[in-house]
Amino acid sequence: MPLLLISFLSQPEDAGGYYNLKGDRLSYPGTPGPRKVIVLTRSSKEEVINQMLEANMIIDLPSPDIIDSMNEAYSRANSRQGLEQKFLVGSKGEVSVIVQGTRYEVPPVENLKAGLDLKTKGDTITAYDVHTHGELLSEDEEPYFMSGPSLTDRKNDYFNYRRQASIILSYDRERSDLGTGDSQTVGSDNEKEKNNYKYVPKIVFYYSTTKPVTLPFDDFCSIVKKIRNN
Amino acid sequence: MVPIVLSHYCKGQSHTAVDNLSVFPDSIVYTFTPHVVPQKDKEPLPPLLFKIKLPPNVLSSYTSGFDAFGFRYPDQQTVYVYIDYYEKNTIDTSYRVIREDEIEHLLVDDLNAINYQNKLDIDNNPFSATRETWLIKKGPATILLYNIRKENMTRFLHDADSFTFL
Repeated sequence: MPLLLISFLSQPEDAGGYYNLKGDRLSYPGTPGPRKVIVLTRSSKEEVINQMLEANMIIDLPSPDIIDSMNEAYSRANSRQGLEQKFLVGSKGEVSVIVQGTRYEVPPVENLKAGLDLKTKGDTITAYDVHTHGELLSEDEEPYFMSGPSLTDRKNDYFNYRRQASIILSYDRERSDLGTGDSQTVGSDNEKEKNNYKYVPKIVFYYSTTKPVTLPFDDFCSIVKKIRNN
Repeated sequence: MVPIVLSHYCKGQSHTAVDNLSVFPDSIVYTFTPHVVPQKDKEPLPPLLFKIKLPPNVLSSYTSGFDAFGFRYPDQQTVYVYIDYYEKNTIDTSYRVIREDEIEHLLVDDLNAINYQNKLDIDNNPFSATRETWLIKKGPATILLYNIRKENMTRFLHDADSFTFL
């Protein structure tokens, strides 16, 4: 593979590297050439890293444009009652327009629109896609959606040729400090406890049938900044 | 059995608390009972409801979504419950964890939503060889008794065995 060799040799040794979801640079998997690649785990243990690499649970470090599109997708999903928003990221890092579906799917014609837009930008191969699930609800409402990928998402044929994980932008409803205090029962009848719920934006990475990995979206953005400045 | 109320979005979501921690002199009982059946795209996925009894004196508890639950006890003793909605072919088991590597992915990825700094903070509670850690699998549920003092392990194991899907 002479071209690949030239590509490696033409870059400074420290131009690229593998990083985990803490933003730590990993030394042992070698180098992906000039690219900065995130291995989608918070672990730095070699065994876990190798499993994730074999499962294609990786993405190229997202550019600021990609992060901007993620924020815009969140914003549109929230302002449009959870209608799914989706965009594609090309192998050269180009970002497609954001297309919109129903609350429960993005139809093929909208996918096609995003694909054609990527092609007009000179990026013919889709590296991964990003779509939303649900919307930001008030803290006392139960979610009508789950943050993780559907079976349809995971069994998509495009995993036959894509080599990076796809992404869902969603929310998990969380509760902290359901402390016991001195009361005999806390929870359902306690207004203060009800208010402990909150919705946290979550980014979910998935590749085919490998178990997805989820983390708070804000933390992901901080990690991306850390790696970019490394 | 706690009934699941099928609720259509347009009619509004349930505003009732989905979990409850009851405190008794000799134990606590945690129940997770969402009322709405959420969807992933077009696929309805009934959440897995459960109940677990644990020893008293829990300091705090944490939940995230439908799958990650944690209970902090004094002296860094921690109980995690993880509900796996993806792996279908699990076998019930119970064993003592000897090597940290055996639970690395579970702790830092599957349970990461409740293992951050202001929560159970796994980075500041490393696996201890002088404590005991046990992993119990019951169907799609994994119960991790983590860094428990040896003298308390029998009680934790006995109570964790009460885990029941509702």
